[in-house]
Amino acid sequence: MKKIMTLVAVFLMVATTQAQTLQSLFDKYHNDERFEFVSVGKGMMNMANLFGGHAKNNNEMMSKMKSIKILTLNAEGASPLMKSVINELDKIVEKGNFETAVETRDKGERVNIYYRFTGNNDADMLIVTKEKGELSLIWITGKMTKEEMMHTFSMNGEILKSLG
Amino acid sequence: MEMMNELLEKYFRGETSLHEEKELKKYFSGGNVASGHEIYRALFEEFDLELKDKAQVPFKKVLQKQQKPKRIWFQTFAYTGIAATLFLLLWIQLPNATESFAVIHGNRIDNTEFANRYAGKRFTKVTEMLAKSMKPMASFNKVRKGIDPLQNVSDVRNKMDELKDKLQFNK
Repeated sequence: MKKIMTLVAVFLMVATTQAQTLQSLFDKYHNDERFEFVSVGKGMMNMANLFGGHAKNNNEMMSKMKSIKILTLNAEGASPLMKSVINELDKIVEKGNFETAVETRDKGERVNIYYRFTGNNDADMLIVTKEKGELSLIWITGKMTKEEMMHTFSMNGEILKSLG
Repeated sequence: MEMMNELLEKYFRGETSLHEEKELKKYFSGGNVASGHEIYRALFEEFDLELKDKAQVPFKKVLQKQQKPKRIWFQTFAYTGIAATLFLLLWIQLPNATESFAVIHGNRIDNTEFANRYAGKRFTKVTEMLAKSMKPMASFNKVRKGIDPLQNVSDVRNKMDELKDKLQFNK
């Protein structure tokens, strides 16, 4: 009986580890004291606030976004927690069928933008920024095309548009 | 006879005791009923028959059977209604109330304005970081735009070559 219980426990642990998703990562850390977490739901988004007046067609963008979740960790780059979170994130990006849209590095600052489509234009966009002592994950869900996604972070649509 | 008259009057006024009613029943079930009292005999016999009548039990049973489903139906309807109302309230109210919030170092802040401002700051930061690191791309675009007229020069050269070929062929 003990053996069966142990096997079931091990199986459950393996299944849980394998099934880690972006949602589970956010769920895991959003109440952690070492993190800052912000969730902005549909209908609560003030696009002028969010994009500092850069967003064009605010209403159109608002109707396309479902939610924005931001998870920020302030810790040394070499700290075990930072390493562990980055490791988990890398696995999720790899196994979650995310594609890289933008990858930039500038004097210790990194920005990675990933996206994926989960059918019927349901899109996930993940922006990972890493700088000295800070890791930030911005997860946007909504119904939008790749072009619309790219436009979201363009300075008046110019910089990212040139890439995509 | 006189005593029975009094008892009957008392009975119809509803003032007889149980003992007196028993006396009356005994009198009417016996054989010595006065002719003036014969009209009441049928009434008292009917009371006796009703007491012996066992049809009351099935009647009760039928009543019980009829009432129970009604109560269950009403309860089910009421509970379903309450459950549906609660579900609707949760569905309509909760997401709006809880979707926008922040958890800063373990402390939950239910403030949409704060969440919006926080998200806004993050977005601005990302935009700035992207703008900074993509400056070379902007320069590249400038160069590309600058090269565009050269594309026209090569087109003109190609056309001239074509014309030259045609002229040579005509000669």
